[in-house]
Amino acid sequence: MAPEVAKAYRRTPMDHAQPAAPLTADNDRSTRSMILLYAGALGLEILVLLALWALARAFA
Amino acid sequence: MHLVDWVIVAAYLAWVVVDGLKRTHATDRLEGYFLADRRLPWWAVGLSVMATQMSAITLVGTTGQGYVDGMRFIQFYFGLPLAMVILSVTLVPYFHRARVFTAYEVLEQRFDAKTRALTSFLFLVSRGLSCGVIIAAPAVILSIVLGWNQLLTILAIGIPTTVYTMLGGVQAVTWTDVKQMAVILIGVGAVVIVLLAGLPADTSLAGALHLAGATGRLETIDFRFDLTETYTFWSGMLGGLFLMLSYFGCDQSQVQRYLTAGSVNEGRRSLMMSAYAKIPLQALILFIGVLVFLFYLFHSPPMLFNPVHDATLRASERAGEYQALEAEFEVAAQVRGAAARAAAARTTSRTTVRTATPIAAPTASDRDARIAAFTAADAEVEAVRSRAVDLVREVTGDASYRDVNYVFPTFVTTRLPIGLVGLLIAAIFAAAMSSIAAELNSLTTATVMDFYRRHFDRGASDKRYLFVARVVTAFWGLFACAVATYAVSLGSLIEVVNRFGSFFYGLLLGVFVLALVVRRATSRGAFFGLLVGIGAVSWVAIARPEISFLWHNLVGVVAVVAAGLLLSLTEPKPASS
Repeated sequence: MAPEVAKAYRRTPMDHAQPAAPLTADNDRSTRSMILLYAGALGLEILVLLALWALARAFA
Repeated sequence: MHLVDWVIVAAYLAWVVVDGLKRTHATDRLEGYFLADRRLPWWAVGLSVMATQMSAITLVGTTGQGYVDGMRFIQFYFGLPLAMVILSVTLVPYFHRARVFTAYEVLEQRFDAKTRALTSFLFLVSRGLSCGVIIAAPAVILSIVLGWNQLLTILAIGIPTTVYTMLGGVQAVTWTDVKQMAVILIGVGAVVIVLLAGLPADTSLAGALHLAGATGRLETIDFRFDLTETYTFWSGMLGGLFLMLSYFGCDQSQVQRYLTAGSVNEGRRSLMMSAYAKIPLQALILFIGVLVFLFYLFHSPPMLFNPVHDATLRASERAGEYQALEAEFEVAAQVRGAAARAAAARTTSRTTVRTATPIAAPTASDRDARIAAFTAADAEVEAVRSRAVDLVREVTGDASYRDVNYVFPTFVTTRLPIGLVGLLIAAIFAAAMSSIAAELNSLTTATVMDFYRRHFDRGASDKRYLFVARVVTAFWGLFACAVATYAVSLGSLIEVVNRFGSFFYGLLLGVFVLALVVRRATSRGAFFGLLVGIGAVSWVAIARPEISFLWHNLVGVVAVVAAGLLLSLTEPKPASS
């Protein structure tokens, strides 16, 4: 295998995406708050879709 | 337009340029000019992300869609929140840790220089052209509605934006975006209040909403799985998801926004602001279109919303035919107005009964009959309007003419009070300029970093690169204005931009999926996979035009990933590193 191909494999991006900082209490808190942020966004979307659906039904 | 409104628009333009020019901190260094030293607060970046996405086409075209077609267009955005979560988990930390200037730099780290160059080139082509359309849309509309010269309107939008982007870099772009977003939100809020206040005293909002519901304008969700239908739940959730993933994850105009954030989490929060606010805000803008429809049920509507075509028809040989149609329209609109009042009064009657007035509430069959009379009258109005639009097409030769983009500006200039007209025109300018500035800035960054610095002048001083960057910004500004002068006759402009985007975005996303997810992907596989993807999307767009453009995103991703992987598999498997 050519050396540049091997080099490319070593640089697979998900390797870069590993957590850079050690798992500390601060990082845990930060991770929890981001998970809540994501869940909140998806939950809000479901609520908005339900509200739009209800609006259409209520005034059909 | 009243003098006060002119003063407000002029003051807005002066304020934006002066404010943009003041934001020159650290713009003598490459990282300061392009990335604001990576230390902008998340809320400013988040507002900039939203302002970049919300162009004048969104503000003007979406309200027009709400008026003509109701709220179905909201389905286009259904994939956005999930896309933001996926990007926050994957690409945002990756881009931040890679310390890149452009999204395409990582493709060279992962694959090779030619894959980076081809991907960046696709971005430059698609964004360069769509930047012209983004200038053209408000320019055409404002020039017609306000009676301005078209070229001057293009320059009035393009030149100030180019000047502050050229001198202030990304900081000028972001901080003016924040203020422009505020102007837009204030304008949107004010117009909602005026529209609600414009309902007749004997008609409640609920009664009026029943009228909108009866015409199907409140129908938002269509679960049919139909590839030929542009806006359905599935096209929004699947095609829209891939479009948003690509737009926010692979389009430099958005990636550059969150690269300016101070940390990975700040970048994530800035994207999540759109996940929370975009659908409600877009629903509100569509709802304004529905409210404009309701407003014109109770106030005399124009038969055509484009005043230039109206004047052309009056001066044409078929003026007599046009005037006869106008008389027919006036009668139909009066009949519809009376039917609307009768139908919308039912909720008021219920209230009256509750307050003990001894009048019997209308029966269900009475209400149904009134609604049926209203919908029949509305259909008659629409039929006459449709004949008038056909007449426009025949007389002007403009076969693609649609009224949709003129509804909101005409309403603003003819129905809003003095002062608010200026504010709303400023909001349309703000929406246009915020998107154009971000695009010029990102086009410049990609040109300088992916081509000039990478291939022509490596190792020069920051001063040299910044000089080139400013020249390149001026070039893209002029290029966009030139494209805008040719883009003025392209039909529904919001669809034109989304069609442009959907053609390229799936391809870009496909390359990033290969880079991020497929370990087996090789440089050769990615490059030729991208070429195969271009062929596949072109074939679908040309040979199967009935397939909605939102699905082009999915076709692009699948074609690039599948071809890229297959081609990679033809190469020998490398030993584990």
